[in-house]
Amino acid sequence: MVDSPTAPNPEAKILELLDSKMTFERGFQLLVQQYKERLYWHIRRMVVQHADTDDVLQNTFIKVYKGLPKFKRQSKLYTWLYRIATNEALTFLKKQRQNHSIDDEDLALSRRLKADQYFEGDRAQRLLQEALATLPDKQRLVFNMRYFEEMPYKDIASVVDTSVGALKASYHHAVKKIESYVRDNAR
Amino acid sequence: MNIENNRSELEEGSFLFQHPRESGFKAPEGYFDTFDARLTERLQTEQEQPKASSARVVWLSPRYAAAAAVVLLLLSVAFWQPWTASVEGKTMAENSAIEALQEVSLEEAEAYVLEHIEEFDEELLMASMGDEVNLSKDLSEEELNQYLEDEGLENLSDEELEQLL
Repeated sequence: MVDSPTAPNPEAKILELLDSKMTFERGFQLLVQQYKERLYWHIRRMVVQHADTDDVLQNTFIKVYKGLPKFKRQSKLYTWLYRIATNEALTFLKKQRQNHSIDDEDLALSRRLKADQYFEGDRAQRLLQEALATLPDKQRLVFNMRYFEEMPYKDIASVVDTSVGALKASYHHAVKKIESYVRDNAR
Repeated sequence: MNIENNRSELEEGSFLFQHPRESGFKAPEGYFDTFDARLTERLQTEQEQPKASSARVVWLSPRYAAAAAVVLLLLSVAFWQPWTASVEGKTMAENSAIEALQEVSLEEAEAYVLEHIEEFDEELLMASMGDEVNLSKDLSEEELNQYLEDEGLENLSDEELEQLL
């Protein structure tokens, strides 16, 4: 099974079920079914390894379960879910970084990709992952959502709480950095 | 510069836009089929965990400790002022304010301070704390979890939390 972003699912049915205590659990089950794959790939692209992604994804849904009664519906359900998943992934990376020096990170990623039985990328995809590892977390996050998922800037803005203009600039810089890395490292 | 409109410029001769938009990652076979059951099991485990003792000591951040200290300060002023008012020649308006303050319960005062914490002068808050920057307080598990979540501290161990504060 490889990553393939799916189209956003209709939220109305899930929200309707979540509205009633009688149907809340069913609504949550449906929510997990609808969004688990999408959130998995979103997290996976940030934390890289499958086992770590599994932990972060479970933590995300635990937070979602506890936070749903406070969800005020001022944003789309799916961008709210992305926001929680993003926070969990960034928190994980921050903790992970405390155990490694910054200089070791690129090398560590390269080793991890080679050792990861769940990475089947070709040479170009490996090079892209190495280039992505050189980006700051938030820039990588924006790049991933835009490039791999083709998410509208407006929705990304809702996830990361940043203006659309700033996001476009961030994406533009990320593209330039990646192209530059590929030029310097493609052999 | 409108980057979205100039996307073709970015794409021209580009490594990124000459390759399929796939990361190369894959998930283990059947992973998504079993995920729901594992998540349900974990949710049940979390819900069955025993509640922490209400006597547990909580190390409060300076922000919350300051709020608690201000409440104590306000209350001490309210109860102390009546005996000094006549000596210092308080106006009727000041005495009325003091009387009104005396009618405010501890819970109401605390709620007010916490709700308006951003409006309080930081130096006043810190000064009112004296040398104490950590206080013990009985919080319910739910309140504690909410506080830790709000402060982004929910994933820290007790030791890390104490070091941080």
